[in-house]
Amino acid sequence: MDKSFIKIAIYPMSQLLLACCIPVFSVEAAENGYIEAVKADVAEFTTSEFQPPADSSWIGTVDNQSKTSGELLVELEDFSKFLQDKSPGSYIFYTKLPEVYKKRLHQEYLATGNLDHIKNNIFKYSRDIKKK
Amino acid sequence: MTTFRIPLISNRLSFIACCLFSCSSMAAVSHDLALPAKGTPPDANEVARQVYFANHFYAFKNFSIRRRGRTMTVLINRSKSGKETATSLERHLNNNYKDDETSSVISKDLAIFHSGRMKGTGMLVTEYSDDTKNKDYMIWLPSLRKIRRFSEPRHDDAWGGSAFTFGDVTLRKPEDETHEIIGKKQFRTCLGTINSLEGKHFRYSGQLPERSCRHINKEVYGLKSTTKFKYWWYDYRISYVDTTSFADYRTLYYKNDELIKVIDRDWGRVNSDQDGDPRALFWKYWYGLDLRTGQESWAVIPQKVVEYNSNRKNSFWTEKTLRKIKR
Repeated sequence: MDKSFIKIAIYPMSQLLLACCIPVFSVEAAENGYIEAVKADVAEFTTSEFQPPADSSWIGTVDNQSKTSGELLVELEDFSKFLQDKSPGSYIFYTKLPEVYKKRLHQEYLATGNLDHIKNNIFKYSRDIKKK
Repeated sequence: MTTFRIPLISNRLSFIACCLFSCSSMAAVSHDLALPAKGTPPDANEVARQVYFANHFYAFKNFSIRRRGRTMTVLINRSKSGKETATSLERHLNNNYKDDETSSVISKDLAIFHSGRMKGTGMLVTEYSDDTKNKDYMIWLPSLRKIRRFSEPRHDDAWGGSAFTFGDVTLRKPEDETHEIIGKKQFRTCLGTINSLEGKHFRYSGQLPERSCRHINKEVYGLKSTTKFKYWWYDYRISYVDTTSFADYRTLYYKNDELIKVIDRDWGRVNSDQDGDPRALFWKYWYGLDLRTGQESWAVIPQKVVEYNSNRKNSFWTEKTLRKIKR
């Protein structure tokens, strides 16, 4: 058989085999809706209107189905739930604090994002109240 | 052998050079830059200068992301094929040279690598008040047990093989671009992360954070910065800048009006009280996604390794410390 024919016949087959064996990779972030959310956000500068992509876990909605979804802690109630979940021990003391202190802790968390600092402050405020 | 190894290592030092926070200063933005007057909205150039101030930690005398036991800062790179690499490091920045009038130094930056191919390597970057003078890059090479110097990297060089460039991290100055405020609005989305690693335990850093949604609804400026460099890898970028703290939460890069790269930064305030400088911030993580290559990078700084305004003497930022690094 003509060698050039074998080359011609085998080459596309090998390409086909390679295509089957090598998995097709894609960017994870592009798949999970991150880029769509980013594009919707930046479009608001020109349109003055935010049109979030449907069912996006990147726009801050609390998704109980997925633990990795972001938690929107803008409301005090959400922050309380978050604290209960992350630090049940500190939460017991937190519930006994007056609303003013709860709001202060919430604002502190939004500013620093430091949960350890928040836990320390819960005990500090509890002590302060007892002294009073 | 040596002549080959040094350039090789200097390439890898794309990361070292200025790692997780930028090295510091330029003549145009001083360490004493005041906040814009209340009631007067800052112009685009002022916003760019304030962002530079926050990103270079000028609000602090010194700033460190140190090693605490086994906990360290980690940079995770993930290629399009899903292959992950991780590098751990510590870094110490010193801005405390104002009182020394005899010195032309304005900042020093020391980085030490604790894992990967760079293990045991240290680098000391010195920046001078003279804008025409290049930064000094001194590297401790553990295999040679010697210190070598190398020149400043290019702005578009990849930073440790990551999706970040040296320009993104440290070298780009406000005067390298023209700035324009395109609007003011609320920040709407959570910051990016490498999705599959969120909340998981990872070597060096312990538990990795989940995506940060704390900044949603915060008021931000849209700052459009167009590069002055010709034939550059991006035409312009749009940054989301906090109107109070000047933290830049997100930067979007465009080429021919097409989004090509995203960098997200999760910032925290060192003090929760409202009285201090709102620009006294630290990074909690950086996330980068290059849409051209599919590469993702995630630099995570555990809160407990952050230290600022410590009593470290200036003598710590010298060659002597580099020579003490253990392999």
